[in-house]
Amino acid sequence: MDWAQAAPPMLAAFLAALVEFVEALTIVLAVGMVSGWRPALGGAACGLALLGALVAALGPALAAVPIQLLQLAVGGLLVLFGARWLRKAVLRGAGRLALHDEAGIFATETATLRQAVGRAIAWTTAFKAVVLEGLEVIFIVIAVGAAGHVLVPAALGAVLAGVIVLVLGLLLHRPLARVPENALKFAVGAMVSGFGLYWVGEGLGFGWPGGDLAIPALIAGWAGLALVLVRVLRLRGEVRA
Amino acid sequence: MSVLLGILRELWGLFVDDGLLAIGLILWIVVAALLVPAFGLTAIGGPILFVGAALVLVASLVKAAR
Repeated sequence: MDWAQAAPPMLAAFLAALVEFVEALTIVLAVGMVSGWRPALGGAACGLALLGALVAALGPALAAVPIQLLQLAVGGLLVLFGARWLRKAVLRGAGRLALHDEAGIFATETATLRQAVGRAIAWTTAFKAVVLEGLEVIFIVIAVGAAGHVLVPAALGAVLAGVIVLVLGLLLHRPLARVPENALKFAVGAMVSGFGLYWVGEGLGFGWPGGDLAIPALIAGWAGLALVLVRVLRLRGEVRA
Repeated sequence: MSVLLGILRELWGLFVDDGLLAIGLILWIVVAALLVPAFGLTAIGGPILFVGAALVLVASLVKAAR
């Protein structure tokens, strides 16, 4: 395996995991600051343990799935996932949807937790955040890695993102509100949609001009289309206003 | 139980946000799987797949922007 083959899935997993880990960190920090670090870290640790058990249980089963079926199923899910992110990023970029606001989410979570009584709610909140965001990371890693036999670089990308977010969270002790979430979502949406459509085509036995080089072309195609759509929707909004 | 239901609901939300987008993409993949080989276009099936999927995204965004 060379860098040209490993870098795109590694980058896609890194960027996607960065978005998800920042979201999980925001909730865990809110729980820790309001209800104490014991339920926050306990819920987060149990969430991580559940995710680890899921990977250990289901991971080896992937090898048993015929490659064409895996490409089709994973590719289809990736297209749905990526297009959903692209749609949201375009609407946010065009000003049609409010930007994701980590500081706002942190404030809402802390206000909710202050009204809630009991450690169980705090523990559950941290647990749920880690499981949900972690499942998204696992899905992306498997989806961009498994179908192309580049699971290790994709997993490394996600782990690197996790370490960076964890270290920043420990150092700053506040939500990472300055992460350009929409730009990341835009890039990941284009990458994931590109990978997904490529695997769907491969699974259906369709030809791609240029072979594997179609993947960067597809990513560029999705990104270009989304940029044009941001422009068009923004112009349409200005005309109406 | 409610935590589990909440997790399942969020998992569904990972892939389905706008119904038109999700159903449109799945339908397009099925249509392409049937028609591209039938018309002998398998060699350029990939780019055809992209064009259709791109149009579905455009339609979903046009609807959302209304």
